[in-house]
Amino acid sequence: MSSEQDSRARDSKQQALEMQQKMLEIGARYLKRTIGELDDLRRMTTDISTNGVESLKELEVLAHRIRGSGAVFGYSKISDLAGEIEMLAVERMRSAQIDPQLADQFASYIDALAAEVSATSAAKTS
Amino acid sequence: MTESAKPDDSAPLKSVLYVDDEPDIREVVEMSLHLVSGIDVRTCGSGTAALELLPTFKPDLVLLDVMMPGLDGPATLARMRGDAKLKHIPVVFMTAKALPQEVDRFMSLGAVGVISKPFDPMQLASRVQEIWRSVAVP
Repeated sequence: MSSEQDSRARDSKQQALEMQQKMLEIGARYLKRTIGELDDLRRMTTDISTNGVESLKELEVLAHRIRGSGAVFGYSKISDLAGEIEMLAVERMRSAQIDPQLADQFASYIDALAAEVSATSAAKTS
Repeated sequence: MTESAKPDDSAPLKSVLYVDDEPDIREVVEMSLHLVSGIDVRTCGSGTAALELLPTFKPDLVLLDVMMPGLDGPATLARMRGDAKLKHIPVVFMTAKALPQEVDRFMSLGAVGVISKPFDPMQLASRVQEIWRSVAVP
């Protein structure tokens, strides 16, 4: 390999390492932010009985965001669990089926998400 | 397309506005595009903020998240296309909902490309450059 090629290879490796490190830092911030957003999800769930479809839309948007970002950072379980919340919101908006059990269903999904976020955060800091 | 935004073989992509309500992803995209390709990246958190920033920043290209509260990606694109000063700026959607029929819909709205989420931060710059080069020069 020429010295120029050597230099380019080193730069590329350095770039990859730098990006990997930055992704870990940003990923840690994402986890911290998501912990706060769990309260937002719970509030939106509570509001379903009064705000109906509007709350379902809010749930969809926030869950979608948590899902998409979780996948970018490699937190696939968090992404999948947020995806379940998103899908439930979308299904119920489409069917306009807002029954008293719906809030409980969302609550159990959010609890599962919270447990996974908590476990992932703990693993990252240990 | 305005002269400043018209791509050709010799005009590299220099500046991008990334619009997404997720602050961590904004940071990832900015890092990715700037670190790998040296692109000048500005970011903002909403379609409304984008419409305020665009007339002064005038990026070569806009990367636009689809699902955002308030003005979503498609609505932001529609506003851009209705503004004489903004309508020529190429827009690429970024979305987790990238089924073929959704991609067709986004392209029919006037986007020049669609990038799926999740994306590989190391590959994002080359994907954006590829779309930039593919935008036809009349």
